[in-house]
Amino acid sequence: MATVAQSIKYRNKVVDFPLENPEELNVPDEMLHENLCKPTTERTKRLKARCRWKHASAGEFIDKEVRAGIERMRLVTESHKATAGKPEVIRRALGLAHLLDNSTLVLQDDELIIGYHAEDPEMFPLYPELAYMAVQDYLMTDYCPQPKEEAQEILNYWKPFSIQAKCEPYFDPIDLTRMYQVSSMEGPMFASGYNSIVPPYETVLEDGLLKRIEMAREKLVHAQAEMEKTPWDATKQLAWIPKIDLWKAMIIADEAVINWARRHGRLAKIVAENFETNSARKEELLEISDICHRVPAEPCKGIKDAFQSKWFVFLICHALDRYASGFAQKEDELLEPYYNASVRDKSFQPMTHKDVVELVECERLKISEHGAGKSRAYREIFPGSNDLFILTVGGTKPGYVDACSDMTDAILEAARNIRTTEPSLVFRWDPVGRVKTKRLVFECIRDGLGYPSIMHNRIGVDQMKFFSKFSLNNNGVTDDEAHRWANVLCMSPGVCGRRKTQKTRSEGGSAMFPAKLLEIALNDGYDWSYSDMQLGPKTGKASEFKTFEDLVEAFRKQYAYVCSLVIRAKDVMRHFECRVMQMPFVSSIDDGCMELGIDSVELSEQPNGWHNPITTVVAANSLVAIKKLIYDEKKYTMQQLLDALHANWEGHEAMRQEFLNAPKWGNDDPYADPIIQDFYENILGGELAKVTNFSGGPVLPVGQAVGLYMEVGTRTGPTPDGRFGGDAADDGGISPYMGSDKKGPTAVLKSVAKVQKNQKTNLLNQRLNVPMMRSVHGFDIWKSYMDTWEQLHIAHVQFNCVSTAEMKAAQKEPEKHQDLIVRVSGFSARFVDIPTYGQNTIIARNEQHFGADDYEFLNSPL
Amino acid sequence: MATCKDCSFYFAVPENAGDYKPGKGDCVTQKEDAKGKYWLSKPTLNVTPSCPTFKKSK
Amino acid sequence: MSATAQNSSPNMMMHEETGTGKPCITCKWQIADPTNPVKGQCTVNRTQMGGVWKRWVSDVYNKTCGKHEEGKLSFREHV
Ligand code: SF4
Ligand code: SF4
Repeated sequence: MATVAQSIKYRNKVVDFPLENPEELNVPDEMLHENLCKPTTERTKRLKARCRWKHASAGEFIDKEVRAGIERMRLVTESHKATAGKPEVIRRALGLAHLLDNSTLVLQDDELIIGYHAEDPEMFPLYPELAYMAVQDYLMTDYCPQPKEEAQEILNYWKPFSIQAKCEPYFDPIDLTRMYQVSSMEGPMFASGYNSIVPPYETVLEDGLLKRIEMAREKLVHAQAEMEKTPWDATKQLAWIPKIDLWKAMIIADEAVINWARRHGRLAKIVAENFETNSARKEELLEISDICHRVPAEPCKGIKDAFQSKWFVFLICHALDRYASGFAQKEDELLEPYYNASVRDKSFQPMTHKDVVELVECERLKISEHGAGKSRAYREIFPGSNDLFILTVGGTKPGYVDACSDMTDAILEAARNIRTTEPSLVFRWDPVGRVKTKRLVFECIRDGLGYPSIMHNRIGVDQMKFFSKFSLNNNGVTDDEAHRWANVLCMSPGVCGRRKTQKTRSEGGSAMFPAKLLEIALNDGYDWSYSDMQLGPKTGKASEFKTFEDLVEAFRKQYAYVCSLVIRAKDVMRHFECRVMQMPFVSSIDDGCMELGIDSVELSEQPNGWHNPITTVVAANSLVAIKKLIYDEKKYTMQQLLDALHANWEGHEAMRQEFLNAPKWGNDDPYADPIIQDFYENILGGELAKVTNFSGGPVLPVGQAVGLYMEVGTRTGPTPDGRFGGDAADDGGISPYMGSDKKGPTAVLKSVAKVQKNQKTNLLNQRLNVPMMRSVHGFDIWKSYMDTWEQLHIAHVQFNCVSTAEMKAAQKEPEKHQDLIVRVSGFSARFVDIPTYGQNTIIARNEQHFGADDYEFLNSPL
Repeated sequence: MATCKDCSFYFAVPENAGDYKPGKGDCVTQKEDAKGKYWLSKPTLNVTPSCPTFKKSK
Repeated sequence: MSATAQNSSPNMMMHEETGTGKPCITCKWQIADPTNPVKGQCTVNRTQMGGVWKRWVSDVYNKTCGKHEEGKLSFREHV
């Protein structure tokens, strides 16, 4: 039997909460999720049943068939050797062309969207040109590329050329050791190869690559003529040389992509004519063949074209040319014209709305089995997921016109029906957004997917305009363009469209860890609990800090050191990316790069700098406890606290209870909140905003988490908030620490709303009560919560809506709960693929129960 | 000695294809594992000595 | 198992022992460093909540401790 929420007294009447779907009364709480999956067609049901998931956890792949392929390494190496002496950008294009001309193509049964990025559907490629350490780590695992000797030889060849080897000499070895540990800061991207990008899909879908080639040719003709002008002026005319090389490289890359797509077309036709016996599938394969012949060479004419063309571009940008996580796009607006052509006008590839939902489900399953050759750190920090794949829908068009469409609805319906952890969705919440679409957002959340996560539309639009002011070529986004944004990864908005998108993670992304920084600030910069070394500058003995401000100042110095180091690491990498990691294909599809002849990693018209302070709440709660018990009430001395911490509180339980019970974030508390607000706005945000990055803009904090709150917790000793060494160091972003928000959901909103200055965004996790959400009032309550959240000007919120009974049942019998999905932080994960401890941290999150006072505050229409 | 040219899995690249070269072909083979059927296409040359998967074309 | 370093005997704690027959690299509690594959992490210490309180292993070939065990942990026992 399903649990039904208890009746309450509200506005002088008794309100009951019967289930919206009475049939669910017979579904036991612990089996709910296994009854929610409803693939739209038999095809997507089959595809999901045989999906080649590539989930990782604790640094390892869960499915033992998953392994690294050698083909990409081999082909890029062959090309690198063969092209020595040519301009680097041309070498990059020739490298891509050699890979695309010679790689193995994969076509799987039942697929409607085709294409893969390795020589076998269980494999993923590696990138020795990026981080030699990351590849070396793979060579020491069970999923090492074979033959191993060849892989080692390739790695040895690349070591001096790799981006990591190029960057390392510009850092003190001590700083490198500190960065590589991922305890006070995330390792630099040059040592992990981790990356993200927002491909300008729009140009490919709208123009087609043949037109882009034509544009580059015209540019070349013009450049040649400019070079030949007399009288010669070296100060102007020499500048054409790198542009000429880039336009040539664009043509090489685009031609290679067209040929590669057409090889897929040939494969589909060969299979149709020589292997396939089912006549309906034969027809499908012939149609796929025709599509791959036309796109991405030509503009898309219908929705099938658009999905296929987009997939090819995704594979190049995220997996073949170089690795990048993410699936950033404003997908509903991107696909809307093709949806209209196929569904509304039926002018090309005519189909129904339901057919589009099936295509979205197919795309979701393609992403689910897309393997990422990411480094160990990133196989550890998104437990139970594959990689970070996040797309954005909703929001507004210029003039604050609702951007929700039937395409938005198709994306949401598919997500609700097929139930996969990836890709995650972001919904941009705006008051003008249509209710029909918001209802679908609710259904995904109510069904426990953990997504869409919700971003405040207007904060995002304003942020695009803010960063535009710092544009180095005075060509940041216009007010109209500011409406077209999507999250680059989990949390941070970035512009989408034909130009000005973020091309590399050296612009924004990556993390640093205030809980650890506070730990070392209490120990003169020394890390006694994990690495046993000096982890930051010497900032004084805590026992000698006379005032709370002395402690804050020590923390500020530790934090400022890390801020500049991590952004320097990104910008040094960017410097070398511009020289050896150019992306001529991406450049060819960006209108700015095409116009100006500047490579896409170098051209930054719209700054978008951010870095993620993660584990902020543990640091903030710790500061509050110290201020109260040591400096205000003088109940303990700093030395007593240090002794207790070094003993992991053993023998100091009464003292720990006092620190644990000090005021905590998330309770609208008049003592804690001003201290924490100041910490976020003036220290975390204020210090970071002093930094200027490669693009000329400030860097702002994005408080989020991925799985790092657990991972970094394991490297963080006991903290003054009463936490034991090793325990989770956060619950994601600005969310109250697990179980410490005791005053209900509206107190959480009131606390979080106080932090506004110097922030990019902050992640807020909330766990909602399943019976309330599944009741007849579920949508109305949630919508009134969302409207209040919007009015309070909070940047983000996301929800877990899973019962403790179901999670505990899944811990006991994982095989029976394959469809149980939970929100971890910036991503959703399959519950049974998370280590037990991670599962426990999610169970420990307070489930928010709404009382009459909450409904009153939210003005819920019950 | 048999070469790819004689193999039923060899498909010559059409002359109008962007990656056409004389003697170049696609080797297309069918695979199956616990998760289903799939096909692989690898570039090959008609003069390449046959591999263990070779099957004489009719 | 206690998660603190203080109250263990020196031999039980991680220490350097050049050429040890029981190096961290062969121990079931050792996992690779997140970035640098010649370094490692010791995961033997468990917290009350079931988490792992890790120690960095600066030299996986020449560090050891009294808790060395052969074998491999499942991902479920990690964080
Ligand atoms: S590589 Fe082997 S299977 Fe492929 S065409 Fe040649 S002989 Fe046939
Ligand atoms: S338990 Fe001891 S031997 Fe094993 S990894 Fe940890 S320190 Fe090394």
